[in-house]
Amino acid sequence: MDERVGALVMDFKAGRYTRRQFIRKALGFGVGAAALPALFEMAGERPGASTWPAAEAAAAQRTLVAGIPEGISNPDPVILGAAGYGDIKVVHNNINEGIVRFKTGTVSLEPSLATSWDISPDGLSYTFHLRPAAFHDGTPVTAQAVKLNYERQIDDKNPYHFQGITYTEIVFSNVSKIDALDATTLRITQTRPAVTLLPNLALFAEGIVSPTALEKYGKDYAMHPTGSGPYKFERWTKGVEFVVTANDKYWGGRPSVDRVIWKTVADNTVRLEQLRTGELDLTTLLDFKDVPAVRGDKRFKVVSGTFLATQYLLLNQHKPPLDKKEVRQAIQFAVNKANIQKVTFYGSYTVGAGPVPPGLLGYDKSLEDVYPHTPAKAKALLQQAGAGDVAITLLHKTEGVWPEEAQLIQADLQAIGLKVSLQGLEEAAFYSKINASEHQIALNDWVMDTGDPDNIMYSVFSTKRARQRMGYENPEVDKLNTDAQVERNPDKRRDLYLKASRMILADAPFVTLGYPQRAMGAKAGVDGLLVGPLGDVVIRGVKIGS
Amino acid sequence: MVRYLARRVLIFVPSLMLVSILTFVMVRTAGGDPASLKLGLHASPESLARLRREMGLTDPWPVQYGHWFADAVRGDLGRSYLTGSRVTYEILNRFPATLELALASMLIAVPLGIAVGTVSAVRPRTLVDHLSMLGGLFGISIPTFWLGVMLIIVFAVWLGVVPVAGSNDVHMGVYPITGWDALRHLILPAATLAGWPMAILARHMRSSLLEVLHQDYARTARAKGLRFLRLVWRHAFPNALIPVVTVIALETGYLLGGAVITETVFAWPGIGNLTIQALAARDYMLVQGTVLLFAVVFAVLNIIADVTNALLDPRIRY
Repeated sequence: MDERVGALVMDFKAGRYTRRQFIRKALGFGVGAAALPALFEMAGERPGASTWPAAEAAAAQRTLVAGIPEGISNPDPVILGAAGYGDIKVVHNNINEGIVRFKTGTVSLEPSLATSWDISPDGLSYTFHLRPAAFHDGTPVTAQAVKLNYERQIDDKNPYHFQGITYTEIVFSNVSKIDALDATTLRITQTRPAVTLLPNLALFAEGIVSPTALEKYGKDYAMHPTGSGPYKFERWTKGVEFVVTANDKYWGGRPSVDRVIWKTVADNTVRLEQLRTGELDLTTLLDFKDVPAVRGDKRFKVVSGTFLATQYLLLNQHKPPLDKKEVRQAIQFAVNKANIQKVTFYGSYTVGAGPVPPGLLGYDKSLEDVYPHTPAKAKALLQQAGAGDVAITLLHKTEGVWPEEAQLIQADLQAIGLKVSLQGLEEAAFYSKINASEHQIALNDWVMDTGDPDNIMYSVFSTKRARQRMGYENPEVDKLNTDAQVERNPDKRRDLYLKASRMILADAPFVTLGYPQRAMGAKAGVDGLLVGPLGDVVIRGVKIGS
Repeated sequence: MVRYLARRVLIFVPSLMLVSILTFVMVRTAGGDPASLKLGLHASPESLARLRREMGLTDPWPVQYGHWFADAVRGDLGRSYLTGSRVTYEILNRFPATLELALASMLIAVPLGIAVGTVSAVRPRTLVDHLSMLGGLFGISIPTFWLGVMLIIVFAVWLGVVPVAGSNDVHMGVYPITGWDALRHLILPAATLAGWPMAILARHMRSSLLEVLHQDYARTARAKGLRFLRLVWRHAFPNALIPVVTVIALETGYLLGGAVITETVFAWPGIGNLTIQALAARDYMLVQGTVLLFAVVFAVLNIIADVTNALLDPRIRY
């Protein structure tokens, strides 16, 4: 035995260390956790006198302690996203996997529970071939199980159709039939040859859960999440922590990190300090102002990656003076996007072009030049419209960067002679006001649900939704967007989105401010971690070095 | 006494009903609706309408309240919109941690507050008195979220003597909440939360003791030659304490309110943290449940205060 350990045992016996200090030091000397009980006996304690060694044994595993700002509310995948990002981080691609998924940190699709798929020549039917895999409770992953997971979202009368299912419309609006041809073959038939089906099936709501668990727990499924992913649920103390452990039987091989402890810590500063004191290995959200300090500290690193989000202003044409196109265009010219990039985001921000964020089909940097920051032009347009004296209210959310960003925009608009006042509302009131079309200008962002441009182009600008939020109806844009949904040639598809984007910019109901990045802070030894494009945090490829 | 208690408990029931109606109306008039929040802007008006229907939000208020009340009297407070689990489960799961935090804070606040108030009253208008009252003013006016973060920076980050946040060692799990590690995690949030009641108690103790010391019997005692400190300790202090007991009980109730912020700063797994989440999500069921719990706690503390008063003060008769 190591001399230092021998000396340590003697010191402990002499009462120079508390049990806790003793265990910590012993582990520090490289003693395995399993050997701890023996050391206690050597120091003269009764065997099994304490539970500490067992707990410390757990600590000695390769554990990742991750701090997240959000609460964890409901880890049922069909509800994911409805209660914020806490659930998505914990569940998506960690506990649950879909039949397809994104390559970590990108938006290109790769096989997941399905190893391959055939698309019929008419683009209407997709046949998926599933791999042999099992849920954490041992139930095999079958085509029937996948079918049940999809149908519980579509069919209101399904016994597992729980309240709050959010993405049915986005994912399944073109789906007419789902058939389990045999245990490993699943066919999805569409009413029109939409190419959005595959990326939509990679969405976090389409994670597949065990039908046995659904049957056993019913409405309390959320307390017993059972998927087929690399991590299985261990325990959950609401509002505090959510613990998962490595799945030995994961089809992709056991992940390197043995256990992940997700902790909810709402305050960004507190989370950063916990990273600094070693209470956390990872904080999934850094304030942009803290990024340089973390980057400059050798003990830590800043983790980033493609993150798909667009920040924008909605200009509601139902409300004067925004019914005048000149006023809307004036606002486009007036906003200093580079200033937001610098002041609010400390550079971690791409200046806005079209609605589609960078990294996706249909993003084009040249669209930045449609509305360059030219206050003089904005003033002229405003004069032309003769609408300078009307008071405008800019609605924004009260948390995070929003108030500051709203102030910057307010100053920009006042500089061209508009009278702008700010109204900050917390999220619930904010969204219900927009959904009721009671706002004039609203500042918000669209965090992509899928890795496909359709998710913003159709969901935001189709008449059905744009009418309320921007008072915007453009049948041509509608047509371009629905055509793009069934266009199989990527080049042609990009052109359709570009054309629609140009049209939307010309009509000017929507100011693309920019695309925020997202930064996580981690201990230097944490490798293989990337910010997921949808705000997810995928642990399966992560390794913890020394 | 028994009749008095029975009367108090009887008043208790309609008060709770009134609280539940008020909460029901207030949470619904606060603006924003849970369906809109769940779907954000990611769904069409049709989806929104469908979700509202599923959540039972399309019924008229009296009908909604009727459903809730009928279930509530059977002990079922409904299911949380946010988590889908039972409100009673969520509350029982979180309440012990808040209780622990509140009691720990009172353990700090009561002895210190009474001590400071007593010293101030015994030496009025001296430097000690002014300093204590200035400190009290700070305790009342400093916002908890600021005090919390300052304590974290000094004691957890600079000095490193206590952890930054959380309720237990991360590898230990959350329970049991006993043991040295849990205690280390408890110190900062309890101290933060203790600031306000300590200041309030010190002020009450000071004024109450000063009042007693100016009463006739105190002067008589002095006139017959009793030493001042003995007068304070034997005669004035117990009498001055009576109104302070009521304050202690009420402040324990208010602590639940203070805990809302303290728990958020320190990631403390209590009911305050839960209430914030519920309010932000317009989780009507959960808000109604937690507020009802606050009301019950307040009412019970009030009854306790009255009873203790009666026991301590022989002049009170029912």
